[in-house]
Amino acid sequence: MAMGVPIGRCPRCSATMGQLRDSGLLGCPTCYEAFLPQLLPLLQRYHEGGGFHCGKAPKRLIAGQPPRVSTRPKRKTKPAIDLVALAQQIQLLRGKLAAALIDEDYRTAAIVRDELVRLGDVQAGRAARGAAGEDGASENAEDGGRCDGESGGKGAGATEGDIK
Amino acid sequence: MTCPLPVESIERGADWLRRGPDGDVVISSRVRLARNLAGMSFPGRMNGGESTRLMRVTQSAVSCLQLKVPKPDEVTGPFAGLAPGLRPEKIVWISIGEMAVLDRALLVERHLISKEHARSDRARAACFTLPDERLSIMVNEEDHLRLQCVAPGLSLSAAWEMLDDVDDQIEAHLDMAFLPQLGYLTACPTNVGCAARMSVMLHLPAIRLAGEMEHVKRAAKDMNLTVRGFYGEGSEAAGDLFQISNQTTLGRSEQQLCEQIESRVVPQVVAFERKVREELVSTKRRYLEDQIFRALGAMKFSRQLTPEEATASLSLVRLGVHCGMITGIEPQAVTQLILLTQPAHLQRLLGREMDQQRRREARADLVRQRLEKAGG
Repeated sequence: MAMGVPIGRCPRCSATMGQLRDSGLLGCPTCYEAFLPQLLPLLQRYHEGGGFHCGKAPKRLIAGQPPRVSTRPKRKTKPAIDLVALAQQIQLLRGKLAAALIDEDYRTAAIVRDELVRLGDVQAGRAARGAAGEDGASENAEDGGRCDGESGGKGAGATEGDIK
Repeated sequence: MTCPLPVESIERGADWLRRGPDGDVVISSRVRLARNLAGMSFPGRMNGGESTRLMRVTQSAVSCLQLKVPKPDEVTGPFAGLAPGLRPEKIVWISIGEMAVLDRALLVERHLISKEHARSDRARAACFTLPDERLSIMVNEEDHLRLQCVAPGLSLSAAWEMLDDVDDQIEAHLDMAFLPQLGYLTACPTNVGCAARMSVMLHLPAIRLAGEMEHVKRAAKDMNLTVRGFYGEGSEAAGDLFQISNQTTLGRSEQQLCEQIESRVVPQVVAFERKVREELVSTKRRYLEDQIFRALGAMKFSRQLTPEEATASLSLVRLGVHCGMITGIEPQAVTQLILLTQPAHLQRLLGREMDQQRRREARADLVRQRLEKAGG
């Protein structure tokens, strides 16, 4: 499977993106890796483009100690997505997209945009589409983008399920 | 199951309602962390076996907690004056599923559990709390664990410091779901990252009277902060009590959030509230006196009171005490009275369940009795 292509179900808990849209809640920690491409644009929106975690981390992790419990999925699954590589790739492509738009090279911009959309970066895709005056976003991206306020689901509200 | 809180504890009111730093405006500071165990479904999809395991390992981890107690010479800190020697065995274990509806409401009114947790039909929903209630841990809510620390007044960094230590100790026993890029993984993606909600509860009657509340809300929103009422969403008007908290949890550290709210945003709001209070006293004194003494009159002479009426009027009485217009009562006693007049508190305090009409009468009696010596 190519990196970033959405997986239908979480390999650990069998949750689907549809269920996330309905309830606003993920099924288990593995869902984050399984649905990462769809989740990234949502996280950017919820957290005002918050980027990546920069707070505390478990001390055992910092010390490089192995986990005490197995975090392996129950069922045999594909390898987890390399988040670092994905983040780097999205960052690189965003730079290329910006450069292409400045140069008014809309053909290259459209190619880069499609690649970003494939990786789940809906925001960049929309921005590029707006700038280039085109229309033709990836269906995957729109699918991910609907898990928000418009869906009527819990996740959309962004406040209902949060820590009050 | 009997009431989880003793009557004297209910009578005394929540410890976080006693006066702390900037106590004329700031009621309390609260930090809440969401944590989930690695390798386990989130509560919404947990099976019976996972649920039992979560409960077992949490009880085990909590029983090992070594809490820092205030030093003997600590007389000014937010936790000074608390009973020393709060040993782990004194942590109260509360099983939500076994509790009466009234007692669940009591814990919600006291901010020990959320409304969602109180409604939970999960057999293994639970809560740990210290007798002074500054620390509580919800188990099996939306996330496996929700750790909370509340301190009186503007003491967000002190609350964070304590909760950070508790979190470290629990993590020494349990592996938490965590990804370096996304931080702590939570059931709802809106909480992922540091998974921390830092909030400060403020009493802003003057800003509300001056019609400036929307201005404060807009300014907070521009800084990715949110303004809610005393009991969260939809309770904005209750007692002019507002909670300012962070809206986003990814991309900013706990220290950054703490610093933003405690050192930059809240001091501005506090200064604004004080300035408006001074302006009202100097330029609209008669109007302010009218508002405050009408409220005091209603509290001293009513024979029936709804919780909304009581909360709204007690808010103005509290303002009157801080502006020096009302004497004979301590401001924190008025704040405690706001809590004690809530339906579940009232019934547990008086030791009997009552219908709505009886509660209104009992509420008026209680307020009259507590404000007997208050006057202008």
